[in-house]
Amino acid sequence: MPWPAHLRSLARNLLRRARTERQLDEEARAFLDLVTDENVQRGMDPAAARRLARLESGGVDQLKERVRGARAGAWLETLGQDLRYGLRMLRKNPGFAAVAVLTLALGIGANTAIFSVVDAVLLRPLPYPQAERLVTVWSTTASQEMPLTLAAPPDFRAWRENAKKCADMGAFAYADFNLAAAGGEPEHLLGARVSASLLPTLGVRAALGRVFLPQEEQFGRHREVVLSHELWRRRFGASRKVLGRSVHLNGETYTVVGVMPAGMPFFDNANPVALWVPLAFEPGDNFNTRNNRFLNVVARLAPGVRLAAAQAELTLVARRIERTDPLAVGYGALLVPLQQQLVGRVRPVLLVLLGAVGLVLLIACANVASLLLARAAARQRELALRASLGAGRGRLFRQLLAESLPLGLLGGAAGTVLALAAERLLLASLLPASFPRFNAIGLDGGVLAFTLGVSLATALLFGLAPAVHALRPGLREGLGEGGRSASAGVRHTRLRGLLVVGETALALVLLIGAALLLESFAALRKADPGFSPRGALAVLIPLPPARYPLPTLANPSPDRAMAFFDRLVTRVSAMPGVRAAGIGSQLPFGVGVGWGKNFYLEDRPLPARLDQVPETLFKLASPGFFPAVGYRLRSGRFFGPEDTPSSQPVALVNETFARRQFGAASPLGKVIVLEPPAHLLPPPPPGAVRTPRRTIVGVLADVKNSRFNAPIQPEVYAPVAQNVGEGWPEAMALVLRTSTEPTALIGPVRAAVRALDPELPVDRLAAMDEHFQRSLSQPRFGMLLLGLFAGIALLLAAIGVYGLVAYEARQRTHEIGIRSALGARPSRILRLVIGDGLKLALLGAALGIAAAAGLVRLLASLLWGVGQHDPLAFLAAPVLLIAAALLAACLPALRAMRLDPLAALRHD
Amino acid sequence: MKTPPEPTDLLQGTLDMLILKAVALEPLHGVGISRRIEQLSRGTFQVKPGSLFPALYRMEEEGWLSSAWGESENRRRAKFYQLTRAGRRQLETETEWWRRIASAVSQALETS
Repeated sequence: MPWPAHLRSLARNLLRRARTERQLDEEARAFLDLVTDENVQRGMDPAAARRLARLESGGVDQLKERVRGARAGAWLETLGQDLRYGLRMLRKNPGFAAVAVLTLALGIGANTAIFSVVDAVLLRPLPYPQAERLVTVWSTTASQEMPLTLAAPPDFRAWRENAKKCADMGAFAYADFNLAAAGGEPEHLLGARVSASLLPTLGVRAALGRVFLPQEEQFGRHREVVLSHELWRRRFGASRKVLGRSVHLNGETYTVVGVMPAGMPFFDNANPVALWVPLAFEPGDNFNTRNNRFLNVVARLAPGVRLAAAQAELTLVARRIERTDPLAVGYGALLVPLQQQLVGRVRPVLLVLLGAVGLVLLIACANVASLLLARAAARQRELALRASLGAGRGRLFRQLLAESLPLGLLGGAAGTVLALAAERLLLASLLPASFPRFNAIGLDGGVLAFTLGVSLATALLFGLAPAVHALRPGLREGLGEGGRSASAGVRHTRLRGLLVVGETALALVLLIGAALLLESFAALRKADPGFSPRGALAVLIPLPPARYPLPTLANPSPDRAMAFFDRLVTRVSAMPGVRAAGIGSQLPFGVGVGWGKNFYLEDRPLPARLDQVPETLFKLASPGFFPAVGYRLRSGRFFGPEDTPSSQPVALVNETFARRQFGAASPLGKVIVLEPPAHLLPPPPPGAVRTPRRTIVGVLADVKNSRFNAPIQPEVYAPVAQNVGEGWPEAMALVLRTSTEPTALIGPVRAAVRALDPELPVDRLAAMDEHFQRSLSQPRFGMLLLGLFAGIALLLAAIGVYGLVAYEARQRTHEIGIRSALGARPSRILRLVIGDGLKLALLGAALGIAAAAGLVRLLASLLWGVGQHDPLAFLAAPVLLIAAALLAACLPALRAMRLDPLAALRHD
Repeated sequence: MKTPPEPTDLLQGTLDMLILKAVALEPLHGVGISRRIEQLSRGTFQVKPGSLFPALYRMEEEGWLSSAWGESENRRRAKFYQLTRAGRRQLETETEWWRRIASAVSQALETS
């Protein structure tokens, strides 16, 4: 058809409605007159002619109606009409509208809230250019306990040089820094030492100044720093003159060369990086060898290269490296997409929650559909009237659907408001701050579009039931006397009954899931972590290398650090309320660093190749550390004052280590050396101190070191006082066990540290229990939210049951009146009313149990200490559901029992 | 013997084409069009007024027909319809298409 004419008509029909209507009226009448004339000419009398004309054409109104249905833009007009009609219906029934909108708001709002988290965390790409090409590179070992480790600097350099399928690679290591400014508080900050290639690999450019040049990786030229945007604003007043300024980091002077753009994550949100310095090694630095694996490596795939191809190439490169250096034997490389690396661990819980809110929405739809069905039954006459006026079946169907649109959209709007409030609550208290990409979560355009889509889909879904039902045959009968067709009524309650069964089944699935998570969380909390988190205070104290030079094999001189800690521990132990105090390199549940070391035992044949040398976690600890943390001893003894730099070197191992290496035999008295056997190592430089042979003097009970789900690693401890060149962390944790409330000692401890060294900041000074609780935050998050959604689902399902039972009771008021007048006992009436509702709930419960039995598989990764088909959950949840359904059904039943029989008999 | 099918139900496309043909020669008003269609089809097609009026309205909106108010034989005010240029082209296209279809169908029916 010629478009211009069509468009003109469309515009005219939509914009000049009144005039178009008048014209149509004119034309229709003229046409009818013509037909009448024709009939008269055929010989009829005028009255009969007119009547025949009317009959043949249907009359002016029908003519107009037919035209309206067929002309340009008709569908749009009718949609608008239907929407307005729907809104009017809602305004006339505010009670119904309120309940329906609220129900929908709950369902849609929950979906919006969870989707916003899923979108920000899982779906949106990381804020780097072409972030999907970024991967992390791990070193792989054949070891069972630690299959993935960080990379050693020589490996990083070799990979970078040889991996052609990667456009570039960069490496970094987190490091603690003390920022000292004259007159200001010394501040402890988290920073990163980065290779010059790292920031360009990520695609990040400085907002002010520049990032590092390759030559700045050279020791001596490395004292330059790039500030984070937040640090620049907070501490340097966002002044553009910051470039070229000097700052004191760890006692050394650094020059500011750049500032990062705002909002650049790197990478962990709980501890954002505040500054970057070049990764530089002193000549002869042991850290620059394959003995130390501590670098995180990020690579960018070359354009057009698939991950599998880059992985294959890197594996080959690793093999070639093995041939060049015996220390590299047994180590490979693994590429993991960066986004997966960062968010992979929360994907399971988020997906479960997404599924849960989907189910809640379905239940909400069922409730609203039920409400609409109830109203549709009352509208039988109106619908029949419309049908007789010429509205086709399709038109009625579309009309009923269109009326649900305003409801859906209103529900979506209310749900968005709910979601906004929920968002705030989520971010403030429920979501652990360590949740990946925490900062990106919010309601943005994408989420709102999702909400709109969900609202429309929901409207279609719940509108379907009454629309389909209303169009069953027998529409015309509705016009008859009484208007209420008995058969139609029965059909509609059957449909509602089906909805109730579905709702209760879905609600039960959620309840069982929530019960399982609840049991899991309870098990976690009760589980013995192997130490005593309560009643202890912990603080991390970083050691600036300028004033506390790190001992190396060539230059082992820990005395300044040792002296400092000796004095600190003595001072703190003397404080009132302190029962034990000590320092260690790592606390259970995360504070501090532990590192992996190769080792060999003297009482057995030595490994022949480097890749056969086992690894263990290594930590330093002072004697007071163990009672302070609450370690338990299985055999032997803790470290004591007798372990001095000049006495026999000793070591402690944990149960897992003892079991793996010695089986049931006692490890006490055996000798362990914390490096590979001498014949596998290059000869040490002359004058270097040899790594001591340590005698195992005790076995510690296992302690959970990280998430509860993680298996316990073997651990070896050496006394701080006897640390000789095995490595020194950049910070040590001070722990005190108190007889009073630990937080009361925060002030005194800070003062004690300040008194010994005013420039040392104290960081993460908190009750140890707090650190421990934080590790539970993620399971807590999952459990609370799933519990919340299960609760909402239960409430909605109960409302559904109530609605149906109440409706049926009302319908049967007459019957109840008769029975009661005939002397039926109240309990009989009660059973009569509840009977159906209860049966539906039981059926739904049975379906729900069956469905849950199959679906719990999806929860498996979130459960701990609880079997998937745990009988307690599978019993308690249905009982709760039936109880709620009973309660919901009882309310109308009680009302029915108290009915005055006479009034009931008169009711119809 | 079976009776031929009732001449009442027409597909929309066929009706459109007949209307176009009817006004091809000269402008006609609604009743005149129905008379002409009956005439052209030798009585096979009798278009009900209830179907004719909406079809005329629609075709005018779509641009196949244009209309003007005039006087009927009985001096009554009536709308007269005539072909537009696009309408004339459409008639030619459809006629050609029908000829091809018709010959193909009759050929198919005649082969035993």
